[in-house]
Amino acid sequence: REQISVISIQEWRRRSALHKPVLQRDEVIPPKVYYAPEWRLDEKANGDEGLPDPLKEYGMTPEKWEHYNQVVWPPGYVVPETGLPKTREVFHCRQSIHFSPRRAWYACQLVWRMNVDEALVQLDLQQIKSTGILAEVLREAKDRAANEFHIEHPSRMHVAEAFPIQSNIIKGARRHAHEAWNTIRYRYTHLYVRLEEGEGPGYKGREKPKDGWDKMSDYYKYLRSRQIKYSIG
Amino acid sequence: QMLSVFRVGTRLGAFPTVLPLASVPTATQSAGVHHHLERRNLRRFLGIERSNKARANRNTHHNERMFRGMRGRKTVLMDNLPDDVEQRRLDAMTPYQARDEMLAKGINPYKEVSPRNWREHDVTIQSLYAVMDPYVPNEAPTSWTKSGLSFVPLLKTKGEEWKQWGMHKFHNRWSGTKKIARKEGFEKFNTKTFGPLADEIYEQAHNALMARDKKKLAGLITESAHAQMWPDVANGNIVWKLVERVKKSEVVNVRCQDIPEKSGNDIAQITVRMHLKQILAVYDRFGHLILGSETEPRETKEYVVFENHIAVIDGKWRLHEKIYPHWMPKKEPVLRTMKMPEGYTRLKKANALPLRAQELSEKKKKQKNQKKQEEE
Repeated sequence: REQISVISIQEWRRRSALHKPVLQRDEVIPPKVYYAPEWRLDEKANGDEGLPDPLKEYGMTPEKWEHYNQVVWPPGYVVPETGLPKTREVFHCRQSIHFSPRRAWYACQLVWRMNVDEALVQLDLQQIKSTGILAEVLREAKDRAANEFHIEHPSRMHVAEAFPIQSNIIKGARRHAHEAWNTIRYRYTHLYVRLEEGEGPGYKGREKPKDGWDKMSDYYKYLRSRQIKYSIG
Repeated sequence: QMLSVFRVGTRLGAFPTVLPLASVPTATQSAGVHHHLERRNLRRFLGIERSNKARANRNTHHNERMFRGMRGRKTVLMDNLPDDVEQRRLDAMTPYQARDEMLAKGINPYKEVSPRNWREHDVTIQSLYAVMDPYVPNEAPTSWTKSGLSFVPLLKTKGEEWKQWGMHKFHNRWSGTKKIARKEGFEKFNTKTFGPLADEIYEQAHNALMARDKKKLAGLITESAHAQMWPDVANGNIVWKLVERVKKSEVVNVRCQDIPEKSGNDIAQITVRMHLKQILAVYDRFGHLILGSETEPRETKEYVVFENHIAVIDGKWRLHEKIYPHWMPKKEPVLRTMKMPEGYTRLKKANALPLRAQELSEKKKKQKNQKKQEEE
């Protein structure tokens, strides 16, 4: 019995050790070569009073996004993945836009990995609110690149990342027939944008949307593919 | 951006006029199909705008507009929904503009302002924001032969220089070493021994700045120096190295002042002339070199000010400022090229602004003349 109990204890110890986070075999933590100001863990990032709640502020927040702008890379830093010097990048966010994040996503996808000026032209052409907002945000980011980060040619940047994240919901009400009440959700979004110097990857890794010429060639293909059924030849 | 005028067909009569693209995002019902009967209005022709905007496009053969109002009243209107566009507009306003806005709305701008919290603090003055006496004798004073001035003005300038030099020497003793020597611990204070100490502080300060050691830096540089030096290291990197001390560092200026007056809260500032050979390379946030070089040293003659709060026993000599007299060659700036904003015009000739006193006197004259004319 004693033997059995010892074995079971050992077994449980072995099993509980599996819960501890362990570096995976191929996982390599890159060394911290950059400098960034200290992120305060005892204060809320947005300046409110009280201790930060670990269940809230998960994912990307405007404060975390802005913190990326404070990072300083060492002199002559060469990115190990590309072997090139560090490209200049600008992190910008517009907070609490009264717009649905799901609708804003479509504008972000249109513009993602495009050159900034090209993106602005395309956004201005769409007469939709989300593209208008995103165009304003990109213009702000371009101005920041020129004034704050002293980037010589902000037009030579591409939109490396663009995504919306919901910030908060304000609930309203709407009455339907027979005294049936439903909630209306007024959604607010944070719109995040990252501009990076250089030519973007373009449509690499995804399908390029068709322009007029592609559509024309498709149409010709279809016309030429027509056959008269049950004909001779 | 303007849409260009286009031809649709020769059968059409009048061409639609040029339409500017909407700069403000508009939410419109877009049909996307042109209507040939709407030739007068480009937006309707293109199908961007609808002629009957209130009509729901459901093809129900019923007049849905009739109950639209009633249906709209079913939604509970939220009066305090945060409007981010409005908020951004208000944030961008100056205080005077905000005041005008509030007055237009009928709000008393001063009523809702919270009353001042009466707080009493003990204020101590331990360091100054500037240099007490930024005078430094000219290394190349006006020469008797090559100045290009005639005799009397030359004498005047030379006289001024001598006077300033004399005052400077006097104050070095009277408002400087004499006052410092009165303080406990500084009885044997000698400006000749200060040079090497200053060198050490200078070197340590720059090394601490490179390493971003804030604690060490606080004991080596003053707060005003920190405000000037830290941004270089917060927004970029610095590589600094002292190659050679070409000449011994010597004290040029000694000043000591108690603030407030006659309180005994003495702060001393000493200017040291440093003739050094140093390497300085300044990098931007992304590691690109923007100023200087890491290999080529540069010979510099600097006037560095050190400050000490000698009223306190723990007072330390700290790097405070550097003096750049007008006769010194200018420093090399960081070369940044940028596109000038649209509408920026450079003045070809600088216009001298009139003095306020001049403006007021001219106004008075005008008023006098007007009165005279009226009397006549």
